Amino acid sequence: MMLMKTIAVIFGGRSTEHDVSIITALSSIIKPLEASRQYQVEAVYISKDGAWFWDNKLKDIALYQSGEIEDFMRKAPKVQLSLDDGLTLVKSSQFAGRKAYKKIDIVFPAMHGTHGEDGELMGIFEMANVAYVGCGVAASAISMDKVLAKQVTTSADIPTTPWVWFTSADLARDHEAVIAKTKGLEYPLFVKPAHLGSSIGISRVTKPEELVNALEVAAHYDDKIIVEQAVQNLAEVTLPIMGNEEPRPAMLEQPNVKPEDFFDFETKYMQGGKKGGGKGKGGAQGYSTIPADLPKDLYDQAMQVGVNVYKTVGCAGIARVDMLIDTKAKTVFFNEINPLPGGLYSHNWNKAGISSIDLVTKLVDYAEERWHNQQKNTVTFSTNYLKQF
Amino acid sequence: MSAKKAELKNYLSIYLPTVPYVFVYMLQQVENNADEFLKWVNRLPNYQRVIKRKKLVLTKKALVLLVLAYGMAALILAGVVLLFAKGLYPYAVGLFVVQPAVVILFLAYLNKLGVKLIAFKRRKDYAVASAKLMAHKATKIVVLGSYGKTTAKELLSTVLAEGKIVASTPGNKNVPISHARWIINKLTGEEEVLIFELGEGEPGDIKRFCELLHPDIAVLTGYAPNHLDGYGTVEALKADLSSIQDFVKPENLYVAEQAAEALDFKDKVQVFGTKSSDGWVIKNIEVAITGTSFDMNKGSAKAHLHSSLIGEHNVAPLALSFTLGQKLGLSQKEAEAGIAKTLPFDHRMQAREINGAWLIDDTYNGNLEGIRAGLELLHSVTATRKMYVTPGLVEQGTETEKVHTEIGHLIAKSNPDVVVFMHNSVSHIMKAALEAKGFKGIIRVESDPLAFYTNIQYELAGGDMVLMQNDWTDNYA
Repeated sequence: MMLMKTIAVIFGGRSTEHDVSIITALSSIIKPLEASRQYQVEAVYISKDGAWFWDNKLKDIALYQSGEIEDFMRKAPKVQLSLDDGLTLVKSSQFAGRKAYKKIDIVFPAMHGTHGEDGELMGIFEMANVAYVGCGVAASAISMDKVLAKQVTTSADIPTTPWVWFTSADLARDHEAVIAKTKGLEYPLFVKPAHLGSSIGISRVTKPEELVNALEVAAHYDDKIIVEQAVQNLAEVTLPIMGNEEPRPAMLEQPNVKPEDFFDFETKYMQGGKKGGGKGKGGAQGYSTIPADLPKDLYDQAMQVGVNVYKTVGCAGIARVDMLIDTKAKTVFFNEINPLPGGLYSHNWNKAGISSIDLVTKLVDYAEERWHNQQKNTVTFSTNYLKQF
Repeated sequence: MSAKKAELKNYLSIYLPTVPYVFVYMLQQVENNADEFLKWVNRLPNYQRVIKRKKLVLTKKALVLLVLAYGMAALILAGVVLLFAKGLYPYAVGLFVVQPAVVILFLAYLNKLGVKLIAFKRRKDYAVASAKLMAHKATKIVVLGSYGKTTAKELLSTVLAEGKIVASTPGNKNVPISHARWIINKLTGEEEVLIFELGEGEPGDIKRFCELLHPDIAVLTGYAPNHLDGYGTVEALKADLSSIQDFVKPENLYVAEQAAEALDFKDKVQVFGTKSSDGWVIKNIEVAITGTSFDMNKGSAKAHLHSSLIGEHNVAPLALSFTLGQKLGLSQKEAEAGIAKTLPFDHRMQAREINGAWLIDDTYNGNLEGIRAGLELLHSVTATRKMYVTPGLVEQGTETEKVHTEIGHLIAKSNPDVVVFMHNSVSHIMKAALEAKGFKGIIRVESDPLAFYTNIQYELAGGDMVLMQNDWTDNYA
């Protein structure tokens, strides 16, 4: 009998998207991984204050919904990480002072937002030299910084809407100077925290009087703020992509919202995609049209822009590229990139002919492929530098 | 774990403190049938993992049984302690060993006695219900047969409701006492048509139902060698179904073509099927994932009918509802409107889309004809990948091997890409029959059906088509 590889799914975390991360991990990653019967799956939960836990009980959504997680965290031993020759989870076995160890073969991060999706967590995996699913440190950091992502894609001649950026300190120091910086942009504008996902802290501003308030909201969440000009004749689309060297796109997806009802957190996660109290479930399902209802040339153009962005940023494993289309001018603008799409966007992959089990197992394969390729690189070499010192 | 260790663990599982609770659950699942309970207990390898699909419903009866079961176990264990204290070790051990058997037999015989007492008590209900029904002016229709009863009842009910005040027995509650209580408690006297589903299960059942219900019209939906555990032989089953002729005039007895042939009724009754119904000729049947359409002609009268129900096997009861509706006073327009309003029932060829994949839930289907119709549909539709899922059929008695061999052959003919069986007493028969026909697709035998059904969504992708037929409850697994 072949020994099953152990996958640690890490979720939760010190992020505004903590709860979204739990759903992604439990329903879109752990369930299909276990249903594949190919892996032993370990659930690793990071609390909102940053404590790590590892237990099979953490796979049960009822633990979080009922609030029993608080009681669990009070009693359960915290987890330490050993980075010696791979990644090993260590915790007290709560029996005779012994410790429980679990060597991890592959990590499947399910963290959204800060301290997880932004490359910090990936740094630990790189240090441990363990295979992990999804984008690496640099691509994650670029993707999760909307300013950096625009700078990198602009350098590769990928079109973006006119934009400016500044820090929350700039805003605190000189309101007027910040507002003056936006003068070149035409209303309506979008004001966004540079590092947050799931549309948290984003405002749509239609007139100058609303701008200060929107800036203050964004500054409440982040130290870096970006202001973008809205696209006219807008069609908003998103494209999940997976793969390493040869990216494979899913289907272009078009949210079913009017341009003025931009895609905020409430729409995405709380109402099943229906503004005004729709009863949908499963978050990012049911609120969009797949494939996007666009003329073929525009559809193909957007698919190409999405793949170009994925390659330019250096993504691996999986990511989702959001684009804005001026349907009259037939121009596709890069908007944002998400290195870990909520729920892996499995609804889209499913429609594209890839089941949830196939999706997670392919992502694990990509992780292993990248890790094996990395092992071919020489990372040390002998010198006599120390002797000469 | 070694085989011996597992065997020992299985053996010892009967001594778990949860076992009396499990026994009460089992009794509830087999509707307090002591013989079925004993058979189930006998074939269980392990008493730890019995409760999977449902939970014990804490009715008054269940609570009494729980108290008695635990009371009896406690009494025996007290005896064990007493014998042990007196140094009578072999007797103490002996009593401990037989303790579960005593509890089992105690519960079984207590139930047998209880059933007899209840039957005596129910006689009054039957008399009241029968008298109320005798005085009721409504046309009384009974629906009987080995399969398709609930569907026919619901279709007739939906169509007739277009022009009549109709009441029909709820869900698949189809035993005499549920009918009697429904008659007593629910009927207002204003109804114009009453429809009853007869759940026959042992010799004399049809007679008993008819004596209670006084039917004017009967619809016999199909014949299959089901419930042979209760009937014993095919002949006994046929005789019971045939006894409907003693209570309903031939001109009011509507029998599905297949059943008419099997029961040798053909020239004596009104036969309906997929070719004709009451003089109407049926043509141009089209089945799609969105429903079933067909044309009906009688002289110059024409109708194009569409229902959301999926499968050719639904054409016969739909056509009968259309023609019988008109016979009972509906206009053709009303009957057509009624057919258009018919919808799939829960877990009966109920199609739903999951992210581009189609899943047809036919898990309440427990008969060969339904299986045949489902597999024909699966064969006819276009899909990227087709998956067929079934645990097989229950209560097939001596026909078990024959029926499941035929199912294997039907699956081979339908030729899906993946076939999923549930590991049980018939999976090997279907698998062998499928392989014997040179099936080249993937065959899977799942050991945990519940986990499979729960996780199937993760296996599906756009373009897939999955047909799930029948599902075995805990007492069959």
